[in-house]
Amino acid sequence: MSFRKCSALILVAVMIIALVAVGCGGEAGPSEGGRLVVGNNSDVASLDPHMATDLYTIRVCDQIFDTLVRLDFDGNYVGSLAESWSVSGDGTVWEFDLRDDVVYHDGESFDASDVIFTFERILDPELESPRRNELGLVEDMRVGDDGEADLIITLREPNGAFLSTLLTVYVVPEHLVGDLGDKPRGSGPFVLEEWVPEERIVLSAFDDYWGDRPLLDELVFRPIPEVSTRVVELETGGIHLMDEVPGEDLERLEALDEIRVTSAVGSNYSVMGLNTAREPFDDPNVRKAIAYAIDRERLVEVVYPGTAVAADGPLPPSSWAYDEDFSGPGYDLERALGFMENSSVPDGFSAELLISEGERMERGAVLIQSMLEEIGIEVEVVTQEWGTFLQSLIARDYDMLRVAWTTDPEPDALMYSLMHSSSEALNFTGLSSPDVDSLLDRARAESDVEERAALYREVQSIAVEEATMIYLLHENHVAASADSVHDFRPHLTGAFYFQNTLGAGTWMEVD
Amino acid sequence: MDRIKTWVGHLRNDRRAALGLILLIALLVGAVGAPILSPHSPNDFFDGVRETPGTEGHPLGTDSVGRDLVTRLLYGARVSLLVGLGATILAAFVGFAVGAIAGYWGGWVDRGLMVVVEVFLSFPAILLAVALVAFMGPGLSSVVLALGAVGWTDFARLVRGEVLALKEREFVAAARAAGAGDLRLIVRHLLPHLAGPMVVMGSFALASAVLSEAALSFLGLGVSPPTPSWGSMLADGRGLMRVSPHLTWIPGLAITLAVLGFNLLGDGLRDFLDPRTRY
Amino acid sequence: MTSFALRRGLMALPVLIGVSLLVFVMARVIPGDPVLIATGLERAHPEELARAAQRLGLDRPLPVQYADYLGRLVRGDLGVSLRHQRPVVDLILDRLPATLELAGVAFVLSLGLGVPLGVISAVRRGGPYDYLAVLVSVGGMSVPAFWLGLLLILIFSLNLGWFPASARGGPLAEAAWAIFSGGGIRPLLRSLSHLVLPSIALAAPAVGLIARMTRSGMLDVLGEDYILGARSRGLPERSVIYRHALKNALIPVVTVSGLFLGRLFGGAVILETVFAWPGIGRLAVLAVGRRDYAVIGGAALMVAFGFVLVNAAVDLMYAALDPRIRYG
Repeated sequence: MSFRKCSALILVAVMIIALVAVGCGGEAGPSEGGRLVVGNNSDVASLDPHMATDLYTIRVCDQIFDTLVRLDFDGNYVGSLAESWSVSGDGTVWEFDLRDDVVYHDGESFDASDVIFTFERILDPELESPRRNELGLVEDMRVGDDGEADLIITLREPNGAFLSTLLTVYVVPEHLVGDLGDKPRGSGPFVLEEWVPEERIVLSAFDDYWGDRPLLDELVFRPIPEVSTRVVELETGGIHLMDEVPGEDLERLEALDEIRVTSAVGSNYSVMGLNTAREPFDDPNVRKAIAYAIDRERLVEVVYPGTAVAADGPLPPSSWAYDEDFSGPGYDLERALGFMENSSVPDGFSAELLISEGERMERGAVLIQSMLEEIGIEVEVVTQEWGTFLQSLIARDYDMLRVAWTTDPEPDALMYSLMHSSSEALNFTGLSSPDVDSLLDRARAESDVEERAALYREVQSIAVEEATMIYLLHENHVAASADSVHDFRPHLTGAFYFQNTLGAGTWMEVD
Repeated sequence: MDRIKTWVGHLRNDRRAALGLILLIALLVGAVGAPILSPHSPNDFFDGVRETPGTEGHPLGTDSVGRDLVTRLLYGARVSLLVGLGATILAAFVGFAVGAIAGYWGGWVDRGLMVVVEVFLSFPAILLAVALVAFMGPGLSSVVLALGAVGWTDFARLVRGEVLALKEREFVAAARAAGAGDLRLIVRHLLPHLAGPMVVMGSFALASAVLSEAALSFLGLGVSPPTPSWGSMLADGRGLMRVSPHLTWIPGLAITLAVLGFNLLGDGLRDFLDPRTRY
Repeated sequence: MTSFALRRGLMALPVLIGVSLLVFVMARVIPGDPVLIATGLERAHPEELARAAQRLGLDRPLPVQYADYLGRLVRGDLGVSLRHQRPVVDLILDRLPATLELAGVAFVLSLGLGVPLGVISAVRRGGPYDYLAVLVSVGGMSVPAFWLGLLLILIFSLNLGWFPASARGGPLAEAAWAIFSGGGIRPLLRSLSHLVLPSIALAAPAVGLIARMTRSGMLDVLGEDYILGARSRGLPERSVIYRHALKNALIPVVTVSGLFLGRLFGGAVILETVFAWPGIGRLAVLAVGRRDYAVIGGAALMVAFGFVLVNAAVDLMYAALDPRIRYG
C-alpha cells in the first residue's frame, strides 16, 4: 500500500468535492438546523457539574448548565445569568443583578435563591466537590431586598479574582438537583437527550434559552481517544469537529477544502521546574544558565509545530495582564555558559528530568536533554505515569520536571499557587521571594484591572529573573471542523461555545 | 553437536523455520553490529525532522525530533532483543522453579502453587503489566520485569506437566537410588529433558514479549526516552501516519519481521522435536 | 458428573480469592493519590486531600481495608467509582456487552479462519499451501495490534470508505432481533459494519494460535490407528479428514478457549482505544491511570471470573466429550 497513491486519491476526491461545491455556488447565511457531532478525547466523568474537573466534562457541562458570568472569546467577563455586577470600594461586597427571563429545561424560572443553593451545595463537605476550596472565600450571601441588587455576596477578604471562581459554578436549582445523576437539567443552551457512556452524549437545542435559541438542532459529543482515529473520522464525515489536532497534521488539513482549521492562544504555560531544595538548583547562576540554554523556538517548531508559542514568562498572550513589551531570556548559549562558569558547578553536573508519559513530553524531553548537554549538564530523562508523576511533584521528589499549568486567564489562578511561598502543596520549585508574595497578595486584594495587570507584570519579571521555573511555551487550542460548520472557533480556555451569547452562533449547512 | 547437525538437516526441509532463522540472524546482526553499521549515534540530532527515506546522509530518513532513523532502528534491535530475552529468561526461570516444585513434590504443594498459577493466568495480563510499570516507573528494567511477571505461568504449566510425566520414568528412580538429592535430580536429570519444550516455548514467549513491549509503549509505559526501542518508535510515530508514514512503517515492519522470525523458528523447532506436541 | 462439576466449581473459589488479593495489593502499591488525580493539580489543596482520603478509608491499615473489601465483594458490592461517582457494577454492566460482542465476533472469526488454515497446513504438510497458510496465520500474530488497527482504519475507512473508522454501531443482539420484530435489516448491517475492523484486528493474533493448535492436533490425529483404519476401508479422503480427524483434532482447540479469552481481553484493552469501542478494557486501563481502585478491582475480577467460568465450562465439556477423563 503506497501512501503516495493514497494521498493522490484523496487529492482527486478533494478536487471533485471542490468542483461540486463550486457548482452549487451561493453563500448561504446562518440557518437553523443540523446535527453537529464533536469528537472529544474522552468521555465525561459524570454529569454532576459540581464534580467536574477535566476539560471534556466541563465542555459538556457548559452546554447544559449556565453560570453567572462567562468569558467571551477575548477573555473579557460577560454576563450570563447575571446581567450586571459591581464590587464595593473595599473589594469585599459583590452585587449581582440577575436576568429575570431565565427558565430551566423543565420550565421553572431561575432566581437568586438558586445561586445560593448552588453555593451551599458546593460548600457542603459531604459532596467533596473540587470547587469547595475555591469558594471558601465567601463569607455570606443573600438575596437582595427591594431596592437592592438581586444577589449580594460578601467575601472574607477583598478578592479581585472572584469572578474567575464563578466561571465553573454551574447553577443547579434545588428542584433539579435530584436528577443530576440520572438526567441532569439546567438552564444552558442545550438539553441533554441521551448519554450512552463511552459512546455518545446527545443534546438538543433548548427552545426557551434566555439568549437566542442555538442554531444547531442537535449537538453530539463522541469520545474518540486516539487522535489518528479522530482525524480519520473528521475526514470521513463521522464527526464534524475536533480539537487537539496534531501540529504535524495541520498543514495537510489546512490544504484540504473540506476541512477548516481554527485556533486560539490558550490560557496556560508549560514550564521546566527546578527543585531549589536540591543542589545545584539552589544556585541562581545554574538556573539562569538553564534558562538561557533552552531554545524555546526550536522546541515549539519541532514538538508543537503550529500548536504553541514560545513563552517569555508565565503570562500567556491571551491574558489581560499580558505584557507585549516583556521579553524573557532568549536562547543565548554564550550567556548560558557564562552563568555556568560563575556557578557552584562550573564543570557541569548530572541531573534527572522528570516527565509524565506522552509522545510530546518525550520528544520535548530529549530535545531539552540535548540542549542542556551543550552547557555541561548531563540529563537523564525519567518518565513517570501521570498519577505517580503528580505524587513526585507534590512530594518535591525530583531534580527538574516538565509540567503544564492550565487555568482560566485570571493571573491569580495562573500564578498564585505556584509562586506564593505560603502555597506549600503547589509551589513545587520552592520559590520563596518576599517581593513576589507581597505583589501577589496586593494584586489579589485589588479590584482595579489596570492596577492588577501592573502588579502581575511585576511578579512575572521577578519570577523570570528567579528562574525557578523555566517558562517554555503556551499551547494553543487548535480545532478542525468540516466545511459545513460555520462560525465556530475554540475558546481560549479550551471550552466549546455554540450559542450566540458569546459571539456568532455556530451553524451548519443542512442539505 | 549431533543434535545440531540433524537440526540443520531438518532446516533444509523446513523452509518456514529457515525463514525464521534468517530473520533472526538479521536481527542479531543488526543488534550486535549496531555501532559499526550505524551512520550516526542514536542520540545525534539533525536539523531536518521527519525527513523521508533516501534523504542524503539518512537512508531511512529522520524521526520526529531529527534523529537518524536507521541508527535508531539498529540500536532499537538491541533494546527489543534485550527486552524479549530478559523477560523470557525471567519468565522461564520462575516458571521452571514453580513448575518443577509443583510437579515434583505434588500434593498440597502442587495444589497451592497451581492456585497461584491460576490466579496469575486468569488475571488480565495487560492490567498487571500496566500496574507493575506504573509501580516501578517506566523504563527498561520495569518493562522486563512486568513482561516476565505475566509470562511465567505458561512455563510453569508446561514444566509441571512434563515433570509429572517424567518423574514416573525409570531413570528418575535410578538416579534417586544412586543417591541424588531432590535439587540435583531436578536440575541434572529432569532439566535436560525439559530443555527442548522450554526452548520452543521460549521462542514463542520472545515473540509475545516484543509485541507486548509495543503495547506498553502505546499506553505510554514503555522504555524511557531517549532509549530507542521499536515499540516506542512505533508509538511515537502513530500520530504521524498521515504525514510521515515511514515513522511507523519502518519500526512496524521491524517488529513484525522479528516476531515472525521467533514464531516461525518456534514452530520449526517444535516440529523437529516432536511434531505432535502442542502449545 | 454433578460431583465433578461441584468440585470444579470449588476449585475456582481460591483462585477468585487470590485474584481479589492480587488486585487489592496491586492497586494499593502503585504510587499516586486517587484524590489528587481526580481533583487535578490546579485545584489541589492539601487539607481537602487529607479529608477526602480519610473519608474514602484510604488511610486505614491495609489488612482492614482488604477485609472490608472482601466482605463487600461477598455481598456482591464492587464499590463506587471515584471518578464516575457511580457503582462499579453499573459501569461494568454498561460496558461488558460491548466487549463480549467484540470478543465473541473476533473469536468466531478466528475459528472460522484459523481452523481451515490449520487443516490446510496439516493436510498439505510441507507443501506450498502449508507454507502459505502458516505465513498468513503467523503473520497475523506478529503485527503489533494498535498499528494493525490504525492501518485497517486508514485503508478501509479512509481510502476505500468501506467501513466506519470507530465506535459501536448499536448492540449486535438488538440489531439482529430487529429483523424479526420488523425493524428491517439495516440495524444489523450497521452494527456489523462497525464490528468489522476492530474484530479483524482483535482476531488477527488468535487466528494464528488456532491454526497452530489445529495443525498440530490434525497431525496428531492423522497418525492414529482409527484414521489409518478408515483410510484402509477406502473411505474418501475428504470424509476421513473432516468427519473423523477434524472432530478429534478440535478437542484441544476447545480446551484453550479460556486462554484465548484472556488474550482477547489483552488485545481489547488496546483496540478499544484505537477504535473508540465502549468496552471494559478501556475502562480498566483508564482506571489504573486514575487509581480508581474500585473499578480496577471490579474489572479485573470480572475478567478473572469470566476466565475461570470458561475454563470450568471447558473442563466439563471436555469430560463429557472424552470418556477417558474420570469424574472422580
